[in-house]
Amino acid sequence: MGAEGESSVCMGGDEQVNVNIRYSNGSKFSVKTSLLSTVGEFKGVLAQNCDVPAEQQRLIYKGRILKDDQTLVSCDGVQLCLQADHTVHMVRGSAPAPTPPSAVPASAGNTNSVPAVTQGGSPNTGGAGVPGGVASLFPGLGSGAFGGTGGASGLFGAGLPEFEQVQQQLTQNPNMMREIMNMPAIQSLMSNPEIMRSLIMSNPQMREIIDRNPELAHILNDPSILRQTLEAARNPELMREMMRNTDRAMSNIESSPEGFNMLRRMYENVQEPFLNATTMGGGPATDAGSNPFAALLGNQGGTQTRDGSISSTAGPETTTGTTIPNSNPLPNPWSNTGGSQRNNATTTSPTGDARVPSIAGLGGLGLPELERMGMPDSSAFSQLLQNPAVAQMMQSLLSNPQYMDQILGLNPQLRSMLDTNPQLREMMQNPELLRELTSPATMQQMMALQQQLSQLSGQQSTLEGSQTGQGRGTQNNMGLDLLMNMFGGLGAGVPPEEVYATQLSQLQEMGFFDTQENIRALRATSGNVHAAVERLLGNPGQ
Amino acid sequence: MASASQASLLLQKQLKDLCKNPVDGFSAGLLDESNLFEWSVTIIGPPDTLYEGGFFNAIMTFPPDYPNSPPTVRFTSEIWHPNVYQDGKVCISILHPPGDDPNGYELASERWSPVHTVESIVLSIISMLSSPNDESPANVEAAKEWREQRDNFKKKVSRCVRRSQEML
Repeated sequence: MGAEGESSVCMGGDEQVNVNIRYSNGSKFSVKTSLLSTVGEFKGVLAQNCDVPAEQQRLIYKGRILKDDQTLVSCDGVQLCLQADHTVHMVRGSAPAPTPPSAVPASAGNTNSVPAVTQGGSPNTGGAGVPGGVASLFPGLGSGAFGGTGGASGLFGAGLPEFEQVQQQLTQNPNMMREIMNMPAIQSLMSNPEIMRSLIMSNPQMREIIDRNPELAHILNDPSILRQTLEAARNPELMREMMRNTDRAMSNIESSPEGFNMLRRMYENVQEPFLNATTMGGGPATDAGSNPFAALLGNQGGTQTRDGSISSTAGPETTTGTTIPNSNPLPNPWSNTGGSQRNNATTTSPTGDARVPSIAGLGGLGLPELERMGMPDSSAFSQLLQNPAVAQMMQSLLSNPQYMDQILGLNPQLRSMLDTNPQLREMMQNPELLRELTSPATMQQMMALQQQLSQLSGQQSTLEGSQTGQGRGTQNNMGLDLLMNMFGGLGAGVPPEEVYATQLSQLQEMGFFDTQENIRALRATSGNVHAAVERLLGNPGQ
Repeated sequence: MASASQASLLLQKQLKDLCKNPVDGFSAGLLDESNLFEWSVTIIGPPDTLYEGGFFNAIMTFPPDYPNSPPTVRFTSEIWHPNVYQDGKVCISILHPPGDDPNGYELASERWSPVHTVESIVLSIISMLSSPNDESPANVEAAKEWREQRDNFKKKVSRCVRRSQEML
């Protein structure tokens, strides 16, 4: 089966290949066809799969409109050849002469007119799924792990509405994910294998799996593997490449005798418990937030329920609701429902904006959970904040940038944070954002977080080093480590060349060769490559 | 030389991505399979605009120092639009060389930046189709009609749309 649509060689022969169709209303489906058939015949096949009659179909591929009398392999001379698994655009054109008026609104209003032919069956070979996959994998580590043992006392418990939203945006927007992965704070966090490890190990189920599978433990113990993985998560291209390689390797294994069994065993020993660990609550969980991983997988959109994904991985072939025999490589278990989600990425915020929700996310990470921890000050604080008079005062105070500045200046912690992170300062001076921030809910969260932070630092001294300690102590300690690390990353300590290594190489690739200049730009933009490029091109900030 | 190979690597990658995971609203491929620097793009007239139903072909030409310099985009289909020159050349700010606008119309941030890809460029063109900018028109006549004689403008556009369908 010519599933390796990579080669640029035309595929001759009359074998049936998979061709994906993308209809202008956003729906997608796949059909099997012989590449030797003509475009006209192909339209006939398509007409059986959707409600657009052949004569109204307009097919566009590689920037060319396909004409009925051409064959699919030689659509425009020999050069243009449709390849397996490539996608053709279909648009509903006007009907031929007799009924011109009825055809006019056709392409506008018929969003529902295409029957759900294998829709959402992410037909792409790993490609489409992976950016989402990356996103869903790493919030997994991020959020799930932050959540500690998945108990209610998790420092950064999942299951808060805000956080879930952030997470959802993350899974749907690979750009934002990349953005976040590029933030120095996260980078420094991630580059510490010890922390990653403790994050993962803090989930008892995960620990069990790892205990049972020494290979996995080995992976976790090897910082370079972790680093590699995280690197991959930052770079979707690399990730895709890795996924593709893995898929290929898997299908090779599968075709060797005993290979299939091996894969099955692997699945049974590792994947299933792993999925269980990530999807089921630690105990008799009542709220979705009890296991942070659960919320994560729950996000993956309607089609792929947990059971679905398990049973589908069981036979190593499958995906979500496809009716096409699968010619794709093995499914990517991390993948969410793939391409279909691409469109509803709600905030396609490019570059800069992505940062805002993420920061807000950082702020919003901890509220109800923290309060549940029963810290007296925190609840007092929140009561105070709920007092309308106070709220009003706060609001008027905070909506005035100058006041804000003063306040920020008074608080040495904040000031040092601002000093090391000019972007933050910019944000703080943006009245829009301030207004956002001063919404009572956000305020409350920020306060609670700050409160916790200071309390944690108090506790830290007593708990230092007691990673193996029990209960909350460990978690607090861990959480603190996390935070310290995150914020520590913003400051000095590590030479900028190291902190911004990836961004630097990206800039180099783009043709900015002055390393010092690059570092300056990256510093000023706290590691945001896009912003750095803008800056290097001569217009600082924005 | 290094930058030339950089450009072709980038373009190659984008081509592969677009073939595998095309974006709604347009389709792109190479004009001539042996030349990565000339792309043929078909833009599907965006729904709910005057251009709805049309298929507009354009050629995108990349300079050897892409992504440091912007490509040029030229419609080969006839198209009537305030921001498209009579010869089909598209005039939008992100395709203008980086730096400050000598005429002071555009912010530097609106001009070319190496982060733009075929996808982002074509999407910008699609958005240009749905909302013409008559501030600094490329086709003065079209801009004038757009502003003052909307009916005439519509008529001309729908003629273009019809023509673009006929060539199917």
